[in-house]
Amino acid sequence: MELTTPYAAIRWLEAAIGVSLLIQTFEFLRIPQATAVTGVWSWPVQRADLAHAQRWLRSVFDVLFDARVHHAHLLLRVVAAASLLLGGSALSIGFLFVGTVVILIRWRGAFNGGSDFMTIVVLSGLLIAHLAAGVIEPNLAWRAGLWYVCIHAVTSYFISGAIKLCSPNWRSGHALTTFLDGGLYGPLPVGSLLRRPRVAQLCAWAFILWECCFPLALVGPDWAIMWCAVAAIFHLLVFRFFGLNRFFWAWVASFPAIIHCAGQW
Amino acid sequence: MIQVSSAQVLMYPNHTLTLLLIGTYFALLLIGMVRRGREISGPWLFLLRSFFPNWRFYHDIGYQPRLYWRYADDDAQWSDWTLCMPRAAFRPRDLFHNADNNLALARQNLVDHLSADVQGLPDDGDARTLVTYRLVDRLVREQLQSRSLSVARYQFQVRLLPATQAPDDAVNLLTSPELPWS
Repeated sequence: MELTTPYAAIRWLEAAIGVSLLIQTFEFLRIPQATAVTGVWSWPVQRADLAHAQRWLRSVFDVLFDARVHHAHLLLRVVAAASLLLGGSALSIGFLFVGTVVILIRWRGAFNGGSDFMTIVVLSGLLIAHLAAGVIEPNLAWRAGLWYVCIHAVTSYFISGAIKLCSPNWRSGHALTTFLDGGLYGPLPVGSLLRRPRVAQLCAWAFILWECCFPLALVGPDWAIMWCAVAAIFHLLVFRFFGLNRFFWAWVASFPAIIHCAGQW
Repeated sequence: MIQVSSAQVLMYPNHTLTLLLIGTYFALLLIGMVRRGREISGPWLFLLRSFFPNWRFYHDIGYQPRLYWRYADDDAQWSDWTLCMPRAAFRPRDLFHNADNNLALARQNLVDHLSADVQGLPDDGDARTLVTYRLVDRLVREQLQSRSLSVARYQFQVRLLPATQAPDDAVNLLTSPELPWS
């Protein structure tokens, strides 16, 4: 995996977020009934969220969230996301960035929580890289975009671990069992190993320590690869218990930035 | 942590500065966690919240908002309360396409938001004016419709279920009026 040059890392970043966006968009195309006029997220009802906005802006969203326009937008998004596998441009990244914001507003700010945040982060990093490359030396612009993504991703793991470390329920392992019971694929079977307090505590501490130590991934590329490999397993486990498949793809999309930046010492 | 000798500091001043900046950044994050300031909120900030990091994924256990519904048939016989909670059977292929389950999780998020909105209402506030209330009402109707029930009236509740105590200790946060089906 060639990630030593900023250009190569940007290309990997584009391919990874392209896959993530394709998966997200095909899922949106599968659930048009939810945002239909007769659906739960009916726009005529939901537009009251924008009661504070100017009339022209509400009219813009009325057009964008018309069922046919929204469907056409999603189809265009498939094309733009697929084009990232071949290489992105300021135009394609810009379209995907703005489109992501529009879709998130359609879902009242978030559809899938943290994965939406990381998608925005990676697209922002790519947008910074492509826009700045037209103004400053391209290598510097790409590095700026990569560091933007890297710092956000590393911070996410670090803070998430630190918050768990401050919680007595996490330190005892009790929170882990409780969340797993409430997960999409829960509750845990009666005889599950994770119901044993000692095992739950051990697993909880393993996650806490790994997350808190995530900044160490920046020591060097080998460390980064190791930390990212564990992160991939961690996100697969999150998918296994909570069904959060988008988290896996959104976070994996940030790994090229982490591995590249770790090699910059 | 990374050891840097004085000779290296002299040879690679940029590296030392970067290390210092990264170290300062994580130190400031820790200080920010300990000393949390006031929270900023607003309608646009809510709609654009995905721009702002929320690192509190599964940060601690507490009361969990859950939606319950019941219905009455033409004879005015009310059913028991039914819990509406996302549950599914695990399928490995969902890693690549998980539309229905993600939608189920979005429904639960909607209930979470209604719970937060109701708790943020002033004392004389009316939950029925909330967008989330109206969307959850539609969610309940969708649930009833999908079961092909003979419904004359329906009603829903949002209860806060304690994670660590018995479900009997649930707090009833909101009960809708009895609503006509048509």
